[in-house]
Amino acid sequence: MNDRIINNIDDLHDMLDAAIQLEHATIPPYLTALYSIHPETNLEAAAAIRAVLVEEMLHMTLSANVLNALGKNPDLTAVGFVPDFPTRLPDGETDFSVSIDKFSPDTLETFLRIERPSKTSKDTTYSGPKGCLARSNHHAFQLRAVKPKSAPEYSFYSIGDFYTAIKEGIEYLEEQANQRGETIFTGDPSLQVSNEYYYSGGGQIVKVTDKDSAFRALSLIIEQGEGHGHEIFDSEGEISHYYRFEQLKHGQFYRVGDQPGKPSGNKFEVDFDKVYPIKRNPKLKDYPKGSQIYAAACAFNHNYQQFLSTVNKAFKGEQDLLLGAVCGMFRLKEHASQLIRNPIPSDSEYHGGPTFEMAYEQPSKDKQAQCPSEKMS
Amino acid sequence: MTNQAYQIQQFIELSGALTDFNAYSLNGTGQVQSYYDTLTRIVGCVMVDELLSIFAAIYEAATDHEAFNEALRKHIIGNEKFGPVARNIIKLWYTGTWYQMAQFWRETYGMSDEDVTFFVSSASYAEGLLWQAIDANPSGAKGPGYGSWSLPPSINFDNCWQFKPFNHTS
Repeated sequence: MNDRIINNIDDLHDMLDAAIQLEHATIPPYLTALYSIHPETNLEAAAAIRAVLVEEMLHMTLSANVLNALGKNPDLTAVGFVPDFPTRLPDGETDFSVSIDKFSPDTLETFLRIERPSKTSKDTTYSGPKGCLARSNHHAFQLRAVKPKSAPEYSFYSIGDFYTAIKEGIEYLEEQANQRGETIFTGDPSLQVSNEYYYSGGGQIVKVTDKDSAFRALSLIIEQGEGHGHEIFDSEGEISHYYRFEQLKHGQFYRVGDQPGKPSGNKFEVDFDKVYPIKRNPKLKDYPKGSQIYAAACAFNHNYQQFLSTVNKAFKGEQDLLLGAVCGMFRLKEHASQLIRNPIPSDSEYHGGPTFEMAYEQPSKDKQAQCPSEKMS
Repeated sequence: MTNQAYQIQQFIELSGALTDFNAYSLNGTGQVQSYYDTLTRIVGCVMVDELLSIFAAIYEAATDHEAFNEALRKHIIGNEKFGPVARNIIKLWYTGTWYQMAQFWRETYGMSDEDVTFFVSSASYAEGLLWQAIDANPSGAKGPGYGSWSLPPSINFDNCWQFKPFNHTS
């Protein structure tokens, strides 16, 4: 039996909220790997990661537009919105771990698994909700997109199944609403983030007002990730994330007409030695208290949380704030680069990196004592 | 610690004292190694060794920041041989550019063929400390975002260099 995942508007809201969290969760690993690359080296690798990174930002914004169109605001400040790294993602029968780490062959493998065209569950012998299965390590997953709200004891077979469930949910709920002469797209159109506020960020933003535009937004997310029908290039000639990364394994670009695994374009060099040796999944406790790197990592986390809070307000109608948030984003980039280029004082091997630890708990006296007072500098 | 690692650590401290940006900021530019290499290539290892040794001696002998500054002025900045090199290190960090040494210095202390004015790299241009000092983006690089020019610059001295009295027991 394959139960439907989304049966009411609350389920759909919850799944889209989870989609925003999921799209964001790829940003810390991509951003860290990108800035771990030495200046002026690995230009092709850096360009590939950067291109994917900005499209993930677009995907997050597109998901937020769909949720807003359905009458619910996103919440980027919710407890646990930024996962505690490493975090796990499903990949069919198996799963894998996503870390904040330097650019390396291992990291590239993880990126390929994140973006790999989904093997969606075609097997209907699983009992339980459609596209889901029961896993022995179920508790290890923290991202909300992995577990449907209506059946939290199950997890999705793949991220492809997660997005399929969202589209089927929209289809089903909108049809039900239409039969009553209503629509589920009751959101305030003025909350939609448009190109006026979102620029040079990996593609065209889609304003969502109805089922068609919602499907266009979701299709863009799915196609940019895994490619259209698992092709290397999409209909507009843009290479999908998976094959963009795969080129880095071959050290060669794909050309239109190439077969998967056999790029025939220009060759380039990928030098994994020209990378700062970031400590994998760094935490504040890895940095000596009182050191500059500790203070800078605290400041980065604080500023990142403020940045998310500003974007959150922008998604709730104060779109003007997005322009300032973009400036803040460029500052965050500089601060992340500085952390990554600095060795950890007490450690002869590793460099620092942003820890992306958000202060979700109520600030107790202990917590406040940990970090010096920060300012956006 | 290898000799070169020690030399680089000393070079960072000397650069910190000369530019008033601390080791965290200097490392953060990603330019330490390439500036050290540029300096040794042009003025030679022997002179860099001498300069860093004098710096270490000044640092160890000084009891406070004021005494340290005084000695730095007297023995490095005001020295005919090392003063121009020290000023070049400052310009290197602030602008990412190696400036050709003055003619009198070249005639007295050596004329490297590579001693011409040049940007160390395109990254060194973008990482010049002058941009941090005035909180502006390098023209044509590190785009700060649409409308950022409407915001006042945020200038602070959180990352200035600090003299820490030398601990003779360590």
